[in-house]
Amino acid sequence: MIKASNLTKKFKDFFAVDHIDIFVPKGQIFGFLGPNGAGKTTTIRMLTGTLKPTEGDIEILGLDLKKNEIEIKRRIGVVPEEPRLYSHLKGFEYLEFVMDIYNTNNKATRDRIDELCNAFGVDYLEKLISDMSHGMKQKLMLISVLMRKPEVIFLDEPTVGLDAKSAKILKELLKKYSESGTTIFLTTHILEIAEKMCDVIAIINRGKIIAQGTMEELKKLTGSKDKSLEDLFLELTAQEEDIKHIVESL
Amino acid sequence: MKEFFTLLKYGVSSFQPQRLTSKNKKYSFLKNQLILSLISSLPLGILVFFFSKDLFTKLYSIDPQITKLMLLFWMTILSLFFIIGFVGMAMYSLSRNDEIELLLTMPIKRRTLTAYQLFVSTISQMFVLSFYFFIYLSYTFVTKENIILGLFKVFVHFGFLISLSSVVAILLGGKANKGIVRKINVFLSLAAIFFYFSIISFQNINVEQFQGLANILNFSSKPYNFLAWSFISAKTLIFSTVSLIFLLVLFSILSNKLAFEPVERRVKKEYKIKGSGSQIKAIYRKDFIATRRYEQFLYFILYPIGFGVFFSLINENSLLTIFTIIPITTFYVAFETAILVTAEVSNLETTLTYPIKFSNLMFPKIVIPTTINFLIMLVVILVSIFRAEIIPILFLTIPITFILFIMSSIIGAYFVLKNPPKTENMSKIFGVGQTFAIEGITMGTAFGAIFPLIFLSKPDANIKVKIISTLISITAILLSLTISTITFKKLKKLLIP
Repeated sequence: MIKASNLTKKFKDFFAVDHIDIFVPKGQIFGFLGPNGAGKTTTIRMLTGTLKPTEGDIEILGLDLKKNEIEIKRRIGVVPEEPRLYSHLKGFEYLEFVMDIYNTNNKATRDRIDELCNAFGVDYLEKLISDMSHGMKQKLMLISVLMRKPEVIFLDEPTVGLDAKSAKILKELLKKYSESGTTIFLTTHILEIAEKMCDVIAIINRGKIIAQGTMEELKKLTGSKDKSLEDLFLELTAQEEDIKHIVESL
Repeated sequence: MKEFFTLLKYGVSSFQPQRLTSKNKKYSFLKNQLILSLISSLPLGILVFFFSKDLFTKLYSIDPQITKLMLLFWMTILSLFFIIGFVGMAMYSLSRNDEIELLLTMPIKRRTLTAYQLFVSTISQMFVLSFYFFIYLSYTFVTKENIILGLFKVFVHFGFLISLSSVVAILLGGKANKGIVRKINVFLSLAAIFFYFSIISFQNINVEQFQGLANILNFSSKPYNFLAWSFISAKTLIFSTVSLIFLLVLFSILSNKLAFEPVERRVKKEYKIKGSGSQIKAIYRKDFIATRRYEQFLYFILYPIGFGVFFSLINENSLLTIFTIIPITTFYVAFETAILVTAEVSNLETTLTYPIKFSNLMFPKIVIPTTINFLIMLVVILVSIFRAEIIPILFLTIPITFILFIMSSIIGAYFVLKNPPKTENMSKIFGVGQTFAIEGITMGTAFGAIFPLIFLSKPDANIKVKIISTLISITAILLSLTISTITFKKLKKLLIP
């Protein structure tokens, strides 16, 4: 369960996130959409305890983030947008490090590493991370999170750099995990993914949540039943007219 | 040719990426690498010229044959340095990397691309080239050899070395491991530095001692020593000229066919995921791996050791050796810590998601460099104490060294965390201002704390000198303790905001 109320992040005079409320019940896949610079990553960083909010309260798994940061971090998993990993380690050394840091050094985790490696086609764990491509690092990062079976998973643009097969496997895995009670919070620019996967979608623009609900609720909100999420998104973020204008002028 | 110069103007060396700041973007490759290499290698070359000229003059007055042997030996060693360094570097730059990937999409001849990559490798060996050019120039001056002929020999040898190394690099191309190449370069840089020191140290050696060296150095004058062909005799000069022409033709053929294949790696698939079973052990293990895999860390560890070994070989006064190594090591401890901290903070976005306090992740960055260097110094100090006569005051250097290393480590960590780098470039952790500040604080306090001990160790020093020396040393120690405490408090604020 994820709960944030009045969440705000201010950088000098600029509100990156402006008094937003989020509630994601257990087992739900929550899609967080928005144009570049809308405040998605800042929100995820605050929810995962890597950035202190200027204002507001956060509860993860029923625990107050301010008081139980380490305990929460132990029970959640985070896949950041950029897979920044220790470049001097080899793939398997990184997984060992993560296992030790999360106290999950057991046979079940090691078995899950093998399963996930097979699923994502990861056969390069002996390689140095500095020699891996973005996609390879992204898969390693995903394995390091999924191998622990966290209760809440935050994913910031998780399919960037993944091949089609791996992206499909990830999507199916996330659905499977949510069915078994894992809460998933994900941001994506691929609206098709959000439309097909997410139970609830929130759209953030200029730091404020401008729409939130199921696909049906969003359609009702804009008064159009036949529109795709892409059309709704562009309409809500007032970008449709811009696009037409830009294309015509080119 | 136009393509080649365009590449030089806009190309960026993929081997050592620059820290992407707006300031750096203003500098082209030429300004960054070529001018910097020239500026840094020329003054050293000129110094080498004067030192070697003095030595050659002394030797020449005794035996011209030994002078030539000494020259040929130096040329052989320097040529070896050049070939190893150049081939390693070129093998890597000729394999597929991000820059080559981009350049291959452009309408540029493969020969031009190859020549450009090899030019980059040549620049990396500028120190060696500068040494060998100025050494031969000094030899020409002393022996009154025709300067035109001298310059011809130098350029033939230069061409021979580059074309030979280039052909070898092309033939072996795509088999270089970046990490190994970088480590080779560290060892060669150190070798070049100690070569430079050895030339200087030869000034104090009695020239008659060289008579005994003649037999050892004799191999360098044999016709099979292709590393000095241009200088051995007229016949071997012809060998090197003909070889140069042959190698250039070969290079021209090979370079146009170069595929720029990806780096070949032998990846063992057998590993067992075990882990250590403890958070603390995992953090220390990760940082210890970093000390092995970052070649800059190795350099900072090896330089003071090499310096110590070298000085103990040429200097009979072990006290002076220890007192010189301690300030240098103190300075480098800050950089070693900075390397470990940079490796951590350049992944901050991920690191902060771990269920561990950031301060726990940072603590080993101070402990590891301090402990490694302290243990090395302990061995050096104890060996010196028991090798020479036992001077009780030397035992005092042990706790002082520990205090100094801790201070330096804290400073290194603080400076990185105060201005965390966005990218992981261990060659450019600190700016010029920060480097000078660290150098001033670490070396200043280290010299202040250690050097007065020399006067205290002299039995014939008068009481006034002893009192002043004691006061200076104590003040420097107290200063380093104060700096450590203040900086640690500031560091804690950064770690726990």
